[in-house]
Amino acid sequence: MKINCTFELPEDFQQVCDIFGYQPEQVLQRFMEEVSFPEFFSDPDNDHRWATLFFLYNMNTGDDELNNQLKEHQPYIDQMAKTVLKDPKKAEVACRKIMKQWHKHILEKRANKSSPE
Amino acid sequence: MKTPTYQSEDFNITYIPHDFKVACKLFNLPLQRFLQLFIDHVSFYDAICPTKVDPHNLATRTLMKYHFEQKERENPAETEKPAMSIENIPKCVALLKSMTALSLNPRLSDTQRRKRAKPIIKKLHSYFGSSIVKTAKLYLNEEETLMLTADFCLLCEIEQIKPIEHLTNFMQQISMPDMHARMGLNKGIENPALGFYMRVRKGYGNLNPGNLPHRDILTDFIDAIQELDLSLFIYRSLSYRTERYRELINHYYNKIIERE
Repeated sequence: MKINCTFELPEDFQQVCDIFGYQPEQVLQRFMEEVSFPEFFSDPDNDHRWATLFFLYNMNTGDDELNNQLKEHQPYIDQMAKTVLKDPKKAEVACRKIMKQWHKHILEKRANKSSPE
Repeated sequence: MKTPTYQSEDFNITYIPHDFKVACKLFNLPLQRFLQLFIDHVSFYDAICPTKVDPHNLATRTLMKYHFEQKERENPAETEKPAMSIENIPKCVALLKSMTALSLNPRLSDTQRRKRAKPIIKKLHSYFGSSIVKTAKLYLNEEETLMLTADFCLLCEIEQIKPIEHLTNFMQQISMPDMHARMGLNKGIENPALGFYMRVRKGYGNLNPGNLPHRDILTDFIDAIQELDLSLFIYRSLSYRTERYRELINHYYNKIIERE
């Protein structure tokens, strides 16, 4: 999926990109490629964990807003936990399937909520 | 030879919960000084008059909460009564009234009120006798002792709970694995003992004035625990999370022990 975005580059980010010769788009692209729940939760110590850790950190996992939504997410979260505990080596593929169902469920729910009665 | 009036379990602290030991060791809080600080902060004034949340209030609430929980479990008929003679009851009532009068004086701070309550508490303690507190000196080991205060003893007598039982409960409430697991799940519960511990860990009481001999291990530990907080997102069971935190915390605790 491709989207067009416009960003206001913060000075500190722009500086490091300029100094080390990175294109901001490339850095953001790399970050997005590394965010992966299936990969991270099936192997939380893997070398590519940082982007997902940042994503989770940003979700503020202990906050009230997320906790209020958790009921909706719980069945999928529990399924993923169960899958990982059962066999971490095979978990990544299985977790991708769960993520697809989870994604579908949330999008449908959101569409139903926003559609007029 | 005089027959001893109390037994070893009245003055020997033989059980130190593992999680408590770890919580103190990681942040270099000496057990004896920490426990003595807790004892010194238990205040009878705080037990009967409303005060702001501070270390005195937290220490006192630790004892009161435990008493309340015990009372709910026990059969009141089986509970022993304090060893106070009937003629002392009116004297105690008068003393308690003078204490509550202190709380109504708006010009006094909580610290001043506690200070003025001290002589009243000593008198009250003398009227209540010592059916529960057999000795004010407790042994942590052969070299280290703890001294109970009049406030602490008085509360033990009123509640009919032995000092070591109260101290054991205090120690059992301080568990870093449980604390981290609850924080991540937003399942915090009222835990004044943990509140007291956290204040001391952050510097209250000056038990550890910036002196962390294993700062490198502690830094790695903090990094690891922050990662674990996030990687446990999909695990919503309190007991599972507690065990995972316990594994990690014990790993760093063992590193410190091995180095010493």
